[in-house]
Amino acid sequence: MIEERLLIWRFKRGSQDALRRIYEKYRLDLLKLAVSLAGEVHTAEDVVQDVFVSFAQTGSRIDPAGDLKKYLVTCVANRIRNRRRDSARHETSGLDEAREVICVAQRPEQWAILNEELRSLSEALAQIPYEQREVIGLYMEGDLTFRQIAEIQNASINTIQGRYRYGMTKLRSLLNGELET
Amino acid sequence: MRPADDIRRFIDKAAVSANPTADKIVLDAVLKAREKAPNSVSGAIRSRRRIIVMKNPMTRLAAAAVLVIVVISVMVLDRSAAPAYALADLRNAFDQAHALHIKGRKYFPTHKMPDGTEIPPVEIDTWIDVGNHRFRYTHTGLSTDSRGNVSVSTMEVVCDGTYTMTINSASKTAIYMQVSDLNRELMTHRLSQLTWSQLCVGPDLLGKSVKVGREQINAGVYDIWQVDTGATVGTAGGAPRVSTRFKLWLGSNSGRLGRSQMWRRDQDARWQLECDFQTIEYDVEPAADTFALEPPSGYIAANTKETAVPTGLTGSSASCGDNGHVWECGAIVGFTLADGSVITGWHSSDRSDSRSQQPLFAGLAFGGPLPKLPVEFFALKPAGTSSGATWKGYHLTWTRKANRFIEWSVYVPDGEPPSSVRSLGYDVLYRFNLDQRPGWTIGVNVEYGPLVQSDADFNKWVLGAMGELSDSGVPPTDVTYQKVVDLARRMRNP
Repeated sequence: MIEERLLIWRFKRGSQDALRRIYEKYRLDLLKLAVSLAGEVHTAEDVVQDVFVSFAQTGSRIDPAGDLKKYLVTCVANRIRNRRRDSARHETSGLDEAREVICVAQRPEQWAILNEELRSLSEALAQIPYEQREVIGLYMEGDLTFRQIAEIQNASINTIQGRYRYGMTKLRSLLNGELET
Repeated sequence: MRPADDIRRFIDKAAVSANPTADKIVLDAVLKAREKAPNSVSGAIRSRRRIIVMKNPMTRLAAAAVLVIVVISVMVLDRSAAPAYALADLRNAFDQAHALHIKGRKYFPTHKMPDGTEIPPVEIDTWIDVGNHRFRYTHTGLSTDSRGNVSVSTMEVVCDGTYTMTINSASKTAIYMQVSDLNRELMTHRLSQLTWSQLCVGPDLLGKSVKVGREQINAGVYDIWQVDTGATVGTAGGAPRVSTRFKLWLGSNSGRLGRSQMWRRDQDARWQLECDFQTIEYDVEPAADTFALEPPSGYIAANTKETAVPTGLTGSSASCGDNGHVWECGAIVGFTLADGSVITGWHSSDRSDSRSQQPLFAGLAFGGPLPKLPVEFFALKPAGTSSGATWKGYHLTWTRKANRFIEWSVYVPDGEPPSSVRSLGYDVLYRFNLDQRPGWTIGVNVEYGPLVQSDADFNKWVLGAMGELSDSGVPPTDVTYQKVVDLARRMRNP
């Protein structure tokens, strides 16, 4: 925690090295979260890059005593939700067609390389309602508390816990056979 | 082992690594963005500036004074931010009112006359007598001709509890219409929902509003609340952009809505006033002639009450054509169960096909799959929101009115319905059951209908609508409130 505050303090003082350290420290966690939420690698890469660029431009305003990971995780979740909302306006096809498809093809310029488990996880998460997926992602991968997620989703803690339970039940049935018992 | 442990282990094993080449490209972009950031002041420069400022004793005193002012301001703001009412009660007070009166002006900031002058605003004077299903409201429309001349047309609709009259300002005509009791009640319900969405935001956003001032209007003191809404757009470094702003005047003691404004942000990011409702009254007694069905002076009545045009239930519909076919579809009515499930009557047909659709309904079972009509409304999504909830459709029954077959389905949500459905309703998710999928997209909305919480509600609203949309006038006997509620529960927890 002290190391993180020191990083923020140095970053706010203009240290490029601190920004590099923040980037290296969190980029993989954010990519993993973004892949889980977006269900698609290219969107996840764009979102995480956008979050870091935006942070580099405006992050000086961050509270030095604040939780940097929570801040970045929330930025990722918000951006993905905004992208979904924008694309939902143009959504015209049915459920089956609209369901996100995981892109497994690796391009030369692809930034994030997923292991088999993350591919399976993303495919399974893509099949559960987004709000439930977001709760699971933020709780399990973003390390946020239910209270913090409730603030993000503007819902009660009971609702969030309900979404978590529903989502986990569906996730378990979708991952059936891949889970260790 | 805790129930989530197996998934936790799986998630921990799920991992991502970064392609080193792409990684360097992204990091360079991030570092470059930092260099170009407008307030990226180097630490050395910033600390030197602070030392210079603080070395001057007068500046130090001034800085202390600023701190005191800031602290006092925060205390004052904090005190004023504790209202004597709950914002969440606003909607309930509105819903429970037996009569509503909203008066104000609608502006057209996005358009101008060819000579650059403003388009005159339209006066709005809406009355809703909820208990007696009487209402009076104004529609506005904007049209531009080929020479760029803009004209505003208004259509006033008045219902006296028996007949309805539409008054068209463009043609200077008035037409009497005859609507059923059920339809009139539904129209009153729709108008209340519509009025609310014009006046105010949903409870989610209401909770995010901030108090920006206080004002005395006549004898009352009002807190002014403000909330921005709309899409957040822009990627890296782009500032969030909101498109709509609501300002609400709430009685400081009562919490009652006394005035409402809606502002829109134009392309130049300037806020433009679009609606200003200066009078909002609850439970006020309408004047005797408020709902009088008399054409205004200078208007011609196209018919009389005796020859009033019968008007059936209508809803949202769409049509599209391809290769000599014209497919039409629509959702006529919607009703809401307590668990958020939606009952709706919908139809879909190929106008160029004269064959009866009866075979498509043969063998359908209650709670089973939907009929394979040309455009199948297989699910619903909340309109205008990113909520992940999806309402999946199940067959209930069907009716036939003239040559139209109406499918009655219940749509059961797989998650928490967002509060926005009360204002925006639901978008239909559809599939084409055709050999060749037309190159068209369609948009059909299901309204947020009256709440059905009992046998009596069900018989009145759902069976009432089924009866109206049936040649015999009698609803099917095989559908009951309890059966539908049980079905919805079963489908939610299979």
